[in-house]
Amino acid sequence: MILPIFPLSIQSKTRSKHEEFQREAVPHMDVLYNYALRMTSNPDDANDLVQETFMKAYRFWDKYEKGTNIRAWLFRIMKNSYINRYRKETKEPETVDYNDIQNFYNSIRYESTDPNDLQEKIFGGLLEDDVARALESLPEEFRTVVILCDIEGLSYEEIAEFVDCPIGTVRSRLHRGRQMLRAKLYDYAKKRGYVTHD
Amino acid sequence: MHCKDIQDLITAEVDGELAADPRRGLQDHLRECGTCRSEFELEQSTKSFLKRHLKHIDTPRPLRDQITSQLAIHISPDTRPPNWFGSMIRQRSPRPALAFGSSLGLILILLTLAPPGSRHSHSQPDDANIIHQTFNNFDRVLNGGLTPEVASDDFNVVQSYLAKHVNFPVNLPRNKRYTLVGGACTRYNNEPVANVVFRQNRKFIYVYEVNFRCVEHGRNLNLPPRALDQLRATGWYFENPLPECTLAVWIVDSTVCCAVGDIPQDRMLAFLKEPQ
Repeated sequence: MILPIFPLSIQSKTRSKHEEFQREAVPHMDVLYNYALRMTSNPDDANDLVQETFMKAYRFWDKYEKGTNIRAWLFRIMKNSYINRYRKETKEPETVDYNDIQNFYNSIRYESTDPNDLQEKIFGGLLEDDVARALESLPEEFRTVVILCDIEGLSYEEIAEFVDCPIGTVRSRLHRGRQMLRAKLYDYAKKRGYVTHD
Repeated sequence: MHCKDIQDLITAEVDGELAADPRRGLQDHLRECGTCRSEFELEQSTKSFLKRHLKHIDTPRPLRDQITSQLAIHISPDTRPPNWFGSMIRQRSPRPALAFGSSLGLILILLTLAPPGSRHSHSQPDDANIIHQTFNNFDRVLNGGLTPEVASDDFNVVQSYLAKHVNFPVNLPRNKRYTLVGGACTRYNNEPVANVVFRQNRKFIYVYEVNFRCVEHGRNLNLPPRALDQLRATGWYFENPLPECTLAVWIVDSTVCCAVGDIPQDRMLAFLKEPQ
């Protein structure tokens, strides 16, 4: 049992707010945690970020418009917290190293037809850490859509709502994000000697 | 269809977002165009590779619990600065609180007037002696100078809050006769201090806890040698500045705990020893 500081001021309204929040917001913790973890690459930072998000969400619960996408609302709170915490100074717009991608296309041959075979050929032997590191290296807007789509399995429509941009933008960021990742992974695999130079 | 129009369809198809009509168009094109077919296979294998290597991770249990506890703490919407016995003041007529305050004042005056050389003094300025600090903080708890950061009678709520801010295991004596009021974290000489308050009706017990490591070396915090000696010999150290006021020091694991309350020594001992 919780003994509040001022029991007289706790009304049933507060209690029902609490229950509503538990029922509607708390179940989405997993998606937020995964996003936080992949964005910060650090479990402690992810913990802080998730906690901050839920505390803010609870404080501003009356600002949440009932019936709208609760996950998207929580996600935007988290994104703001993330930006405040980890991007204090406004950075230059992220740039993409197109050379990486170009190198990749120059060095890969399109002869395989079996996708598994292709994976083996391109990324054979890479460790999970390599993959996580490659994801970390992506510019934020690309990393975000890849996390939400490929790890969390969200639909384009929901991602579009999360990041507040048109579905077409989500799709092209996914395509570009995967391209960049592929180039990075291929690069790692080459350095580790898992794939041979063409 | 031209290859330059195909890319969007490829990505959408890889993500299972393509409607039946455009999908047929895409398939027709892929049958004829090797470049686009490779592009499709690459994107598809990249996605499935990522899915296999970047697994969804469930929220760790401790984080989930912590958030649940924090939400429980935030149940109070009151924005006034909290104090340890607000509920008592608001629930009862102000008289007992005033009477309590004045009797406390009396104790303080008596303690202040205690002759030099007595074993503690409330008028003592802040120093690193944790017994002095415990007495001073007890005063601050009662006069509102030290406010709770977490107010709950749930041991887990208070414990998990304090654990996040200190570098030692927090020890909360459990005694069914006393209700946990709440806790706060402070610092002295950069050492984190856990402050916990219990109450039984109008009697309060304040517990001060720090890492024994920083007391042992006597750098940032210290205990008088006689207290250290007695702790080592018996595991306890007591002071009674007045018959009705008891201070107790004990050590659990690496935590040194110092409790003070306006109760006689036998009741303090019962508070600390009696199982829940």
